[in-house]
Amino acid sequence: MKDREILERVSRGDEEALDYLYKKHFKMMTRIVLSNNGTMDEAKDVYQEALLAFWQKVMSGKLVLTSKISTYLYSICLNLWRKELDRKSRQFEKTDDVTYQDFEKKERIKIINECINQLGDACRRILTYYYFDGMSMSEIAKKLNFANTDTAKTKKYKCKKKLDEVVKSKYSSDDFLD
Amino acid sequence: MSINKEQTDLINNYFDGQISASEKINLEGQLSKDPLLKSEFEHQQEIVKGLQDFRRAQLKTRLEAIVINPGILGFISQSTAFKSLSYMAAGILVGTGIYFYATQEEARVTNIDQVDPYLDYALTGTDEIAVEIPLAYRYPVKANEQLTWIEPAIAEVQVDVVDKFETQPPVRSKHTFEVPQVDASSDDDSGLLGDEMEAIAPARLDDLSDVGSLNKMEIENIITNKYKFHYKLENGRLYLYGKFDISPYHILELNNKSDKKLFFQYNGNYFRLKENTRDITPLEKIEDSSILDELEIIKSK
Repeated sequence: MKDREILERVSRGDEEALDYLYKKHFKMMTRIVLSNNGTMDEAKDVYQEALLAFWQKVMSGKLVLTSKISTYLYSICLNLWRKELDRKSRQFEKTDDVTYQDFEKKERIKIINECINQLGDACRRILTYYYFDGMSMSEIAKKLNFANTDTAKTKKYKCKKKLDEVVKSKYSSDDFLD
Repeated sequence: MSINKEQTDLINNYFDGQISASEKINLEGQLSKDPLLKSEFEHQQEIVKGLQDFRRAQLKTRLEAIVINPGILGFISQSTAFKSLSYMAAGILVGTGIYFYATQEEARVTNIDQVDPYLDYALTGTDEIAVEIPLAYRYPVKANEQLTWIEPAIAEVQVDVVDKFETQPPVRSKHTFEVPQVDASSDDDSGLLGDEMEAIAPARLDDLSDVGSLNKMEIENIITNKYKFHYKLENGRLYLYGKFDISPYHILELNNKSDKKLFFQYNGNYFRLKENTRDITPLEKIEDSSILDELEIIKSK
């Protein structure tokens, strides 16, 4: 599959194109981390994050690629690993103070995740396609076989509202204080 | 103070990426003044982030499930266990090399210490060929035997010191040998005899007008353990070292105008004898077939 075809398929949200890219450049990208004091798990994580960043950029229509996809991915991997190495080097300087606010935030994140899982598949897909993949409503309508863009927009509004309500109800019902 | 619908829409538009620049400034101003609005804003922020994290995890799980086979070598080389093992193996190899190098030097020293001290001269690096010294000179001495020096009587013992390591004095036999001479009559010394010689080679030595009286050569045969097939030609006297009793031997003298050559023939081979060799010299067999042919002709005459 050539780069042009890959880009086209990714822009349509074709996750199989992402799979193809992952397999194609796995060795090259993971070598960056492995040859720079990284483990295979870290290498995989960095490469996956780089692929997802590429995915988001292409989906948003904001990517203007002037090089090969592999070159672009390589630069992302390199930057991500550099940041990780920098973070590791500063990790020992940071004091390990777990504040109440951090605890509360973690609890809220956990609740939100549970609520997302409780959503219906359609709502979950609409919201994740919109807020992560950066798909437009027309693209979502096409992908999820809605009648039109307005239908997709209405569906999205309702799903978001429902999620807000479920999360808030969970916040009020759970007691964070022992 | 509660949040109105307008503020809620403003926050939603913000996270949907559908807010204008002026609306954004307006919102930021309200957030700085209204804590409740700020709390709602942060709540929406966490929900959107939650959705993004959920999708990220979903895609990463999909990618993680893809099986990529790096091959056995790739898998092994990428594992941390392999790296640890390889470092350990390298350390062991280096340590082993150092150990063997160090002990080799020690072993060499030990080995030298164990060398027979009587062979020390062989290790001094002289040009002389180290010769194994027979232990025969070590006379067995009994434990209670006292060694006394006996001054040898000169008249009684005549010792020929040929080889100080000899246990027995060399056996000598002397006789006089008449050396037949052949006149080469040629200055051509490129070959041994040259073509002219063949032309004038006499049927009998006695027919040669230039042949003077036969020279008599004293030959002394010395049987010794050290020299098995050697000679020394000094002052017209030939010393033969070794046993020459397999067959009769012959001595030929060939005279040219400039010099003369002596040859020793024994047991089917010819050997060149050089005049005035004061050192005991090994007999070197002549290999040149042309020379050998000529010598055979002369010998047969």
